[in-house]
Amino acid sequence: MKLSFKLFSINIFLVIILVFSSCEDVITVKLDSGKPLITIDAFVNSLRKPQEIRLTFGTDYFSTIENPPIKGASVLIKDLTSNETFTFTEVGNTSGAYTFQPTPSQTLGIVGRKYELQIKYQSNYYTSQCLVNRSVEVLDLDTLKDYRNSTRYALTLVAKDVPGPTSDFYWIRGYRNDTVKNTFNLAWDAAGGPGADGFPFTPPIAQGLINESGAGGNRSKPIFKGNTYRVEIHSINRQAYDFITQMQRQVQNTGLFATTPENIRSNITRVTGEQVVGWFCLSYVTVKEKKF
Amino acid sequence: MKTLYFLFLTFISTFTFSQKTTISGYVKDVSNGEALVGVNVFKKGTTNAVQTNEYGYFSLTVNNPTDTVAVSYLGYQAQSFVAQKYAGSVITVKLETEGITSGEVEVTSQKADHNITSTEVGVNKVELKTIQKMPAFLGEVDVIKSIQLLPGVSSIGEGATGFNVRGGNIDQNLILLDDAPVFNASHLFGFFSIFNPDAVKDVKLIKGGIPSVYGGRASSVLDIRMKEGNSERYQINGGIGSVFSRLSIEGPLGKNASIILAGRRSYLDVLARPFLPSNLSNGQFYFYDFTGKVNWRINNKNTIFVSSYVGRDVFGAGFTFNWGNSTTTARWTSILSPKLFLNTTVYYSHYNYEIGFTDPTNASKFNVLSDIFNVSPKVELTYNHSESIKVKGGIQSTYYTFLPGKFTIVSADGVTTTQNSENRYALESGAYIDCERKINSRLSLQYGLRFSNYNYLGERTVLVFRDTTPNTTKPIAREYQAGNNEIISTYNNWEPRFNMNYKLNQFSSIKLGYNRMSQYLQMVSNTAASTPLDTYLPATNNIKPMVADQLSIGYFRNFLDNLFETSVEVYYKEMANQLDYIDNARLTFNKYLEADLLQGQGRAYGIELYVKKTKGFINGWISYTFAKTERKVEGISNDQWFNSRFDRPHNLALVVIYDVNKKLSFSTNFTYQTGTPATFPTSKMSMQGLSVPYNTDGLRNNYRNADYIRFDWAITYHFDPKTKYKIEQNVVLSVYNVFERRNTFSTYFRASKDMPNATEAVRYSVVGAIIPSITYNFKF
Repeated sequence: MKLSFKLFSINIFLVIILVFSSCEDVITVKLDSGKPLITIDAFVNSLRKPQEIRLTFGTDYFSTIENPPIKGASVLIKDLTSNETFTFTEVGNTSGAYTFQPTPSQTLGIVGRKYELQIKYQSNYYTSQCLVNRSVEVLDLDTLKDYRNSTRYALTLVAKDVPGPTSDFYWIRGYRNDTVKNTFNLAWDAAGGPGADGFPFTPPIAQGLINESGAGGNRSKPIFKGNTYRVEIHSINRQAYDFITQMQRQVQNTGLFATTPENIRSNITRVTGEQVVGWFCLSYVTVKEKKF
Repeated sequence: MKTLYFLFLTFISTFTFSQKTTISGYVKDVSNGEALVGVNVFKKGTTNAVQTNEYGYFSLTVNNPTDTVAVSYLGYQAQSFVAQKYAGSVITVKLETEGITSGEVEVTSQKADHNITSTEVGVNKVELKTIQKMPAFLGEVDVIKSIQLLPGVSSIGEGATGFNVRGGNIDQNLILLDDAPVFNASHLFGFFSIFNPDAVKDVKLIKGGIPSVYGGRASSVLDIRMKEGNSERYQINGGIGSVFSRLSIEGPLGKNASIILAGRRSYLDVLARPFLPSNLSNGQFYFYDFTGKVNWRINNKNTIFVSSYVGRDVFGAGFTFNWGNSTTTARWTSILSPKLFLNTTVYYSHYNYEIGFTDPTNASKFNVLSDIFNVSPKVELTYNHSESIKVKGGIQSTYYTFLPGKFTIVSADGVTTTQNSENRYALESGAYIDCERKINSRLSLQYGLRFSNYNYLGERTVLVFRDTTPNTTKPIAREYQAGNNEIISTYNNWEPRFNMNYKLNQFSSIKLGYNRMSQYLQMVSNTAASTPLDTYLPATNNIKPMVADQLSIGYFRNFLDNLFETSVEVYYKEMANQLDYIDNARLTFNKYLEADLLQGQGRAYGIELYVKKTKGFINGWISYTFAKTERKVEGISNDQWFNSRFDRPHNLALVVIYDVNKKLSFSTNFTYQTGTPATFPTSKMSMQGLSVPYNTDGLRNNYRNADYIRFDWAITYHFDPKTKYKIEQNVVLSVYNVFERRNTFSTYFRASKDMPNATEAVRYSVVGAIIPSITYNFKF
């Protein structure tokens, strides 16, 4: 619902822009400096690929440097059922990334298990827990004939939400040739809000895999022939769903119906140390890849 | 009810009864039969006058049957007669407009020194004739846009629904169309108001000292009365503007009745179609409204009218999105005795919206409907004891039904599922008494009391929440089922109202007004401008009703034989239980909505200066307001007071209308307002490859957008009336935002598109250009 409303408002705005000449200009604003802020970006998943957790400092809003990395931290995820630990090691770069590559004997992100993130940095100690939820089976990636123009084809996801007993939440990521093309495609069961338990994914979600102009995105745009498209469905929980929604709102907060700006929430517990903001989410992922 | 009866007796018993001659009746305009409101009726040689009420009715008692009674009204020829000639019967006085040799006939609906003599404080009336001459956005005459130029009234910007009165939120205005409340008074989000100027008779805004006859909203009353329709002859009004085409027809229906029908439809869709991108070209994009009223005078003593409004905005392009109001009011006014006036009203008001989404490639569909219904009977009795004592009492009850969402989902294989959010039901009742007294030639009082009672009713699931850290979703403690009409929670409020006028001399007076208002419905919205999807939430077991107290004091002075009216008003207002929202609250289609709501305090104070030139070739007004409005909510902005979204300390408006001659008039508006407060970040953080703004101080509305400045003008040219058909025609050319200023509606922050690590602030302006328009109006 939220997503579909988004679509409506975009269309309505086009009309309003046309008629009332609304406009956007980059302006100069003097902002206060912020206090130091430790940021933890820990979205990891069950894929047997290098998993990354990023630790950075916040900077002044208009600063043109990249967020400075936090170096020398110890980062690990612990399986609270088996007590197995997965250690993330610092990559000798300047981005603040700590990575972990699962070996064939290691499995991170078993559905139904709870995991704990533990981060030690100087005198700071932060933790956070996450239960891994189930995801859905992707039946197919398909193309759709656009109803206005029979020569164009749009990409669509063929999958159904798993019914009951509680709501499922998914973060659906679409890739073209290994580049993610839509950051904010979220599903609450099969729709953009509650009430679609067990349904096939609704059109705004199923056809919103790719968000790039002229390439299989926005429902009426054609896919690029000869390209490889991939969809990953990450299982998340309600809190992560809300967090990503909130983050989306804060970075795209414009127009007549902009919401009151607010600080994004955090699920990181500060055991000791300085102010921290961040999110830990461990997802089980299903994948489908297809070349067109 | 018992309490009310007791109060009524108490009020009445303070008066002495005697045998005198009472004259009562209606005052009307001879040319169209419209009732004239606020006409002075008095015994010749005295200054104590009574005024006709909103139906044009008066009742005057004189000591001697041979006394001469005069009826006078600015812009009309006065009439007089000997009292005994009409004693005991209900008369109709028809006044004729004065022949004025040059310029337009000035018709105002109140006597020249009304602002000095009345007990009203914080009341503004704008004449429709003035509104019609003022420059308007895209040339569309707009009631709500024009009241935003009055002192104490502001809005957050162009295109935003509604208006803010003395620091109150937009849902705190009781907008009445012939007594029926209107929930969303806007077309196209907020660009135009739903009131067709061709059908509006009278607009009155009450900002303070609100009499006890009104209740249910905390900040103001916008009382809009529709025309009764010309009872003398048929008349057609119409116009073609940039946005709407209008047509109205009014005239007599037989001997004793009159009718008015008025309609408008936008045709932007038709004009814009060739320019629209292909995926929108088959879209729908229009809005319309239709207003009608029938007035039937059964006999001298009884009148019935039925008035109705239906309006809708329709958008669609592969989706449907439409919303609208409809209201119907039926009223019976009856003169029980020359001194006793009975008024029985029933209204019905409905607001709904629909969102639909159809997949063009298969059968799947998704549709949501949301509705608010309310129906209300009201009985009011007015007792005109003498020219110095008038008592009103009444009871009113409103039953609300809220249907937050009815979902229909059709899957690709054609399976239809429907799901309904639970309805909410509420009953709001009020009993009131209001007394107007002239103590002596200097002191007049208006005092009253309203008792309001509110019940939140079943049938529905009642949610009980546990307390938690403020600004997080409240956890559910338990749920239980309340039966049909079972009272879930009850709130009662005593609302005293008091107005006083002390006349210093013929030209000046000091007035004082106090009111307590309670509000049982609040709009749930955390967006900058309210959207048609914003729902009204009634008070529940978790959400307390809002209560506002306001004290205002004013000094009123007229100069040069009432040519200039000036006033200074100071007010202080406190509001309890105002709604706010936790961060990332989910406000639409959320069963546990109440868990995401917060309630806090509000305060507002200000000073309003007003100078108005009432007549002459050049007329208009200047208003300046200095005001503050703040909020304090536990869990938000570190629990400190913060500026509300519409806090604009300085607000200056200038309206000048220059009638060059009978044919030509110029008008200009100038507006200056301090920029709206805004929340800006201090830091950026990196999350999933995005630069997310963050405010490490946690303060809300800690900055201000740039000041709002706008200048508009309009020229109206009247063509010579065609003698054969008597068609009056005029053309209005208006230019909006002459300075071409890009006023900030909001500022937002984003990652720069050009530089990878850079971020930038972006000003969003709703109107960024000069907007000229032309409107053609006719009347015959």
